[in-house]
Amino acid sequence: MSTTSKHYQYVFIGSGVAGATVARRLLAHDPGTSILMLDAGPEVEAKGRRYWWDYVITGRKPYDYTYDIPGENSTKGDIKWGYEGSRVMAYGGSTVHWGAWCMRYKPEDFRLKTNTGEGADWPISYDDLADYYHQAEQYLSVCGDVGESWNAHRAHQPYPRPDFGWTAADGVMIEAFRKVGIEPGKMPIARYRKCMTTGTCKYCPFGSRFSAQYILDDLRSDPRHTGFVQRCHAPAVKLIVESKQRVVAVEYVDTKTGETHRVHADTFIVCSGTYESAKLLLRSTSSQWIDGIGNDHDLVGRFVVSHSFLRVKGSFPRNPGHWIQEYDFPTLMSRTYDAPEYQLDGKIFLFKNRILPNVDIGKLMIEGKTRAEIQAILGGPMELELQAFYEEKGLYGNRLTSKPGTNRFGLPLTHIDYLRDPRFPERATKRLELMKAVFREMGFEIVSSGWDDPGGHHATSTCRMAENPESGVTDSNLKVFGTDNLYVCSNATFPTCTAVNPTLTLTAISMRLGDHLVAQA
Amino acid sequence: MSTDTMIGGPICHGQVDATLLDHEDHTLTAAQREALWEIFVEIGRCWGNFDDDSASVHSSWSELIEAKTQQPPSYVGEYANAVAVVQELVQMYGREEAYRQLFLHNGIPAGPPVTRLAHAKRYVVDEFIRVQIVAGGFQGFVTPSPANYNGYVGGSRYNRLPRVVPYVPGTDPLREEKP
Repeated sequence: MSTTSKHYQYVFIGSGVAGATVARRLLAHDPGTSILMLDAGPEVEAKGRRYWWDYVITGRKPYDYTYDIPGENSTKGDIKWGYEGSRVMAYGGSTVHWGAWCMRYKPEDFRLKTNTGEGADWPISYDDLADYYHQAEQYLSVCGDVGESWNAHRAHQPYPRPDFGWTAADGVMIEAFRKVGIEPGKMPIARYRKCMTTGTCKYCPFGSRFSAQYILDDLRSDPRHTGFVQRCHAPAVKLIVESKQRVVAVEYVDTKTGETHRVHADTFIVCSGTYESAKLLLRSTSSQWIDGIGNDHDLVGRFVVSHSFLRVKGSFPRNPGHWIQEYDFPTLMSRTYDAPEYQLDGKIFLFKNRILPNVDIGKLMIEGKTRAEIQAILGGPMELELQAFYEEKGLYGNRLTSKPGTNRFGLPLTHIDYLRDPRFPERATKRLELMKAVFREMGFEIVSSGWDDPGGHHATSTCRMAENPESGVTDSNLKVFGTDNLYVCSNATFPTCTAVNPTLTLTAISMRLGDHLVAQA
Repeated sequence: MSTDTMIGGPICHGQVDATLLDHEDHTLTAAQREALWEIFVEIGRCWGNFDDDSASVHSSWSELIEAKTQQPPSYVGEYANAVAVVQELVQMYGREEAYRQLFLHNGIPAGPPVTRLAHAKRYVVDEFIRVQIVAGGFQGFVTPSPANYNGYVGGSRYNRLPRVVPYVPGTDPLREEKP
């Protein structure tokens, strides 16, 4: 093993939006700050024209190989956890592939336990994050509409960009929403001004959808940032302590050479997502931390939770408007059922399936269909689907751990024990009935409905924030309880997963952590 | 897909690996580029979805060819093969019928492409079709047509022209259609 003589002020483990945002804050305060940022995965080229053409033609993206491989991780319980395709293990993290839907959590989301007796409260409130949400929306360039009723508490903080308006294909569902008492809204999306609406958002050729890669590229290329070092192919093995309170080093492996390195720093920030943040703490055992750093109360890895996915699909015999899905994101959504009165039975966030209605014209031509046949299909039967994220509540018995073996990036494999809340089927069925009412109002025939198991896309809570170490792993400033200089900055710290996507909130708390560290420095 | 006997002659029926074909040259000749452009134009003629013989998308097509031949994995071998395949088909059937059969009734069996004809269809014709559609061909089938399509570069959303067919309250074409 080699030990570098260089001592950093900060070591970051993970290079996703959290790490990039905190590092950016530190370097804006002092460009000479010495930072080492490690990532287990590779760097994938962004905005590559050949990659983009191959994506358009074949659907394959240049980062597909960084996903978890089916079967390498495991679940035990009454669901099959959805690992595949849910996280990008590469420079820039999961914002390399995210859909960029950006909703703030609502005030009641921070008081779930107080309001319902279930789940947990955050040790901070919505008001503690309000200004950071505003900054995060500027930073991510969120396009939205503050006129919707669920935005009443933040109407004084407009979105930086106007919303993407509804499309004609949304119309029939918009009108049905209104008739059944659902307020239609416009999906807040992180898109820069240079968006060319290619609909190839998963690999944008113009860099119009935020990716942490762009932030890191700027940080690396800024000549003032003489102390900023970023290394890929560098999975962290273990955090090393010299006392119970003080982490002094991280060991990591250079997977290209096989060499193990030990690097010292003043402060360590684990921003490795919900899976890897918990697993790193768990394997960082010592005489001071028998069960892993921050794990004296056996809470690291527990409460793992993510959205369940509800869906109702309907069909109509004709498509006289020849609608197809024109964007690669939904424009129609609703937070009517993402409200305090629905917290106990499970909030849902509704959105129209971004892929439907769809006709793959190219596929029909490849199959040898004639012009007349294709015209008939374009005006023929169509399907629409209404989907929802259902807020599940983290349960003590549901936990994430490592299993023997490592993946091809040197990260330990993942195991999740998970039993669903037994009240879920009844509660989810009620929510599906609300969704089916929309299709009945539309005059569509319902062809399928149901729910999918939760998975990694929006997983949270494995190192949750709390008021005290008996209730969680990190404090309100994301510092691991019992330590002086170790922070976790990832979805792992969220006490709840709410009903909406986590990345805007993650960006906000990253900015807040950045300010906290600057104040301490 | 048709179960007709596979079209073509000895070149088309030549057996090859399913992986990308290699080529001793690393660039296309001008004649090969012209022949490939003809394949692309004939797609628009076959399906009648471009008014100007695809002239307006020549630059997009050229960018594709550049990317496919100058960056790995190279398609020079596939493009050279496709030119030879089409040449044989034209000699056997005449130009119009050659393309009609290639696009609509080629008789290629399902599965990995293991003949020169199958390679030409999979790696050139099929890919050109996808490019033609996203370059604007999707708008040439029906009226009203979609304004946008995944892969279509619609221009900055701050242009005055709408990039999608927008929602207009009270204009739901399904209203008269509901059973």
